[in-house]
Amino acid sequence: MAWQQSSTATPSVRSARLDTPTRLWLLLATAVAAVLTVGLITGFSLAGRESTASRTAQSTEALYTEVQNLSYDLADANATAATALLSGPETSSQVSSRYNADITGAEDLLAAASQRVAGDAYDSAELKFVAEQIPEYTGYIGQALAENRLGAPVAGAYLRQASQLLTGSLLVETGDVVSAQQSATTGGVDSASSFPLWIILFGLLGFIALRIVAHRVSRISRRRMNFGLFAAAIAVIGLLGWSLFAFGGAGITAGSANTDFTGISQAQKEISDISLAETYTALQQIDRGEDQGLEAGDAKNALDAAKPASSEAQSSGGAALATAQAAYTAFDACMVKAINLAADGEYQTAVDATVGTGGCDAGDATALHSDLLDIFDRSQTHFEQEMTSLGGLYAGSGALPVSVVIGVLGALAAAYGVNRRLAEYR
Amino acid sequence: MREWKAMRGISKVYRQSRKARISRPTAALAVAGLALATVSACGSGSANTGAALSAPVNPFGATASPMPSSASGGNCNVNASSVSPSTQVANQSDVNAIKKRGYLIVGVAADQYLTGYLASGDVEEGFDIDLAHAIAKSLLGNADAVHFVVVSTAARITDLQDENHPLDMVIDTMTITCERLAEVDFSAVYYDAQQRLLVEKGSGYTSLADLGGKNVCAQTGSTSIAEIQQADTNPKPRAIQVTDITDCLALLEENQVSAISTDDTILAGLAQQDPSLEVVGPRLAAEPYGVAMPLGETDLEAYVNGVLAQYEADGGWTASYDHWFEPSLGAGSPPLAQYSD
Repeated sequence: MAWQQSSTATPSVRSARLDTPTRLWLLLATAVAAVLTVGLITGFSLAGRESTASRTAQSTEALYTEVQNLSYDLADANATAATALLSGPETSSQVSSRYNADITGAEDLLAAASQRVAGDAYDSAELKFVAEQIPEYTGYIGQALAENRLGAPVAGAYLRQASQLLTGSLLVETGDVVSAQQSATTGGVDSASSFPLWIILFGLLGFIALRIVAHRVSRISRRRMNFGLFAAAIAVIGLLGWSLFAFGGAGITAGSANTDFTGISQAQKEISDISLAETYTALQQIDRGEDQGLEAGDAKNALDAAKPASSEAQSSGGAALATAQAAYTAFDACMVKAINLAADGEYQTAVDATVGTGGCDAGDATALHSDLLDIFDRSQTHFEQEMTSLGGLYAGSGALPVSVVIGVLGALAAAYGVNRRLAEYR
Repeated sequence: MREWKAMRGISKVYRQSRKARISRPTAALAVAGLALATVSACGSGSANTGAALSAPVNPFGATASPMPSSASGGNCNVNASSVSPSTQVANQSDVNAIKKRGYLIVGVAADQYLTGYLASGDVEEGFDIDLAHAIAKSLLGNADAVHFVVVSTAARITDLQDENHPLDMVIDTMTITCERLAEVDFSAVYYDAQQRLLVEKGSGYTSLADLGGKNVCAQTGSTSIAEIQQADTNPKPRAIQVTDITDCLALLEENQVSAISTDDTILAGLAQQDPSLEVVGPRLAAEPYGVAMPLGETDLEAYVNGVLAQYEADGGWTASYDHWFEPSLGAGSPPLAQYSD
C-alpha cells in the first residue's frame, strides 16, 4: 500500500525527478564548458604573448640589430675610405682590410636581413634597393682610391659622390628599416606584456558559471559541498592567478627590456655617428673650403650625436658609460680641434691631427668605438635575458598545453563532481 | 635608362620616384624640371627618427637657377678698371700695414689644380700662387713671407669684406666684373682667361651651340653659369652647378654631363687629370683675372699693379705660365696692361 501510495504520488514527483538528471547534465556541460573556455582562453593568450616575446627577441630585434650594424658597416667603410684619401696617395693594407671587411660585413648582414625581412614588402624593397646601390657605392670608392693613387684631386669628387650616395640614400633606406623595426621591437615588447582584459572577463564569467552550477547542484543534491566543482573553481582561480602573476611580472620585465633596447639603439646609433663624424671631418679637409663650412657643421652635429647618453647607464651599468663618456670627451676634443684647424685653412695640420700619428682616427675613435660596443653588448645581453625571462613567465612554449591541461583537469573535476550527483539518479 | 642614371647622379631624385613606384625613365622625365626642388626635398624628406642615423644630405650637383649675365657685363671697362702703378704708394697706409706685419695674407683656392692647389706637404702651388709669392717678394723682400688662407669661390668677396677676416687680397682666378667692382677693388688684369669647354675627345662638341639640351657643368657662384644659360642655341644647355669644380670632372667622366664650362686655366687642370678629355671651342666669354683687394685700398692697388708690370716685364709671368698651362693651353703671353687713369 505504501508502495501504491508512493506510486500514486509518482507522476508529479517522477516528472520532477526526470527533469533533474537533465538539469544536472546541463549543469555538468555548463561547468565543463566554463572551465575549458577559461583554460583555452588563458592558454591561447599566454601562448600568444610568449610567441610575441619570442618573435620580438629572435626576429624583430635581431633584424633591427642587423640593419643597424649594416648602417654602421657602410658608414665605417665611408669613413675608412675618407681617411685613406687624407693619409696620402697609397692606401695602406690596414685601411684596405678594414674597408673590405666593412663591405663584406655589410653584404653578409644585408643577405641575413633580407632573408629575415621576407614577408614585409616595404622593408624588403628598401633592402633590395640598398643591395642594388652597394655596387654603385663601392664603384665610387674604388674610383676615388684609384684617382688618389694618381694624385688627382678628382679623387675627392668621387668620395663626395660616394658619401652623397651613402647619406642621401643608403643610410636613408636602412634608416627606414631601422625605424620600422625599432617601432616593431618596442611595440612587440609592449604587446608581449600587455594584459588581456578578456582573461579577467572570461575568468570571472567562468567562475560565476561554476558558482551558479555549484549552487544549483547543491539545491538539487541537498549537499553543501561538491568537491569536483570546488576543484574546477580552484582550476579557474589558478588560471586567473597565473595570468595575473605572469602579466604583472611581464609588465616589469618588459619595462626593463625596453630600457635595454633603448641602450642598444643609442649605442648602435652613436657607433655609426662616430663614423659619420670622421667622414665629414675628412671631407671638410678634402674639400678645402669649397663646402662653405657645411661639412664642418655636419661633422659637429655627428659628433654631438655620438655622445653617449646618460640613459645608457640603465642598460649597461654606470662604469661602462663613464668609460665611454671619458673616451668621447677625448675624441670630441680631438675632432673639434681638427675641424677648427681646417676651418682656419690649416689643412695639413688638420690632416695630421686627424689621421697622423696619435691623431683622432688612430686612438680616440677606436677607444670610443670599443667602449660603445661594450655598452651595446651589455645592453644586448640584458635585453636577451629579459626577453627570455618574459617568455619564462608564460611558461615558455608550454603556456598553451599547461593551460589546457589545467582547464581539462578542472573540467574533469567538474564533470566528476556533477556526475557523482547524476549517479544518484541512475 | 641612361638618362635616368644621369639624372640620378645629378639631382638624386630617384629616391622619391622609387617611393612612388614609377618607372625610372618616367621618373627622370617628370623630375627634370624640378631638380632644385627635389634636391632640397632630398635633404629633408626622409624621416630618420629614433635610432635611425640622421646624416645630412649634401647634394652633389643641382640644376642652376637662372642667373643674370655678369661676366664683363655692365657699364664699365673691366680691362681698365684699376689705377696705374705708382712708386709713391710704397709708404702709404695699406702698404705700410703689411710691411709692418711682416707677411702678406692672401686668400687663395686650395682645390684648383694648376692655379691654386694645396699639394701634399701643405704646399700651395699654382699660377696664382706664383703671383702671390712675387708680390710678397716685392713688398717684403721675401717671396715666402706670405700666409695663404683658403677661401671658397662663393665666399671670396664676403671674406675680403669681412673685417674679422684680415685678408690683404684674394688671388683666386677671380674674374673682374662690373658687379664685383662695386664690392671690391681689382688690380689690372693679370691673366686674360677665356671661358671654354672641356669635353671628351672625339665627342664632336666644340661650342655651347652643340650642347643644346645637354647638361653642362660649372661651379656655383662662377660667371660660367650665366654663360651656359644664355647660350645662343635652342634648346639651351642645362647648367648643372656644383660646389667643387672637381665634381664636374667626376660627372663628366660618368657621362652625367656632356661638358664642363669654366675658365681655360681651370679646365687645363682638369684635363691634366684625365687624358681622354680636351679643352675645345672658341672663347665663350672674356674672363679677365684680377687681384681683388678691399674697396678703397687704392695705394695697395697701385702697388700691386706695379708688381704686375714688373712681373710681366721680367719674364716671371711667362715662366709661371709655361710651367703650369703651356702643356694644355699652348703658348701664352701676358695681357696688355690698361688702367683707369
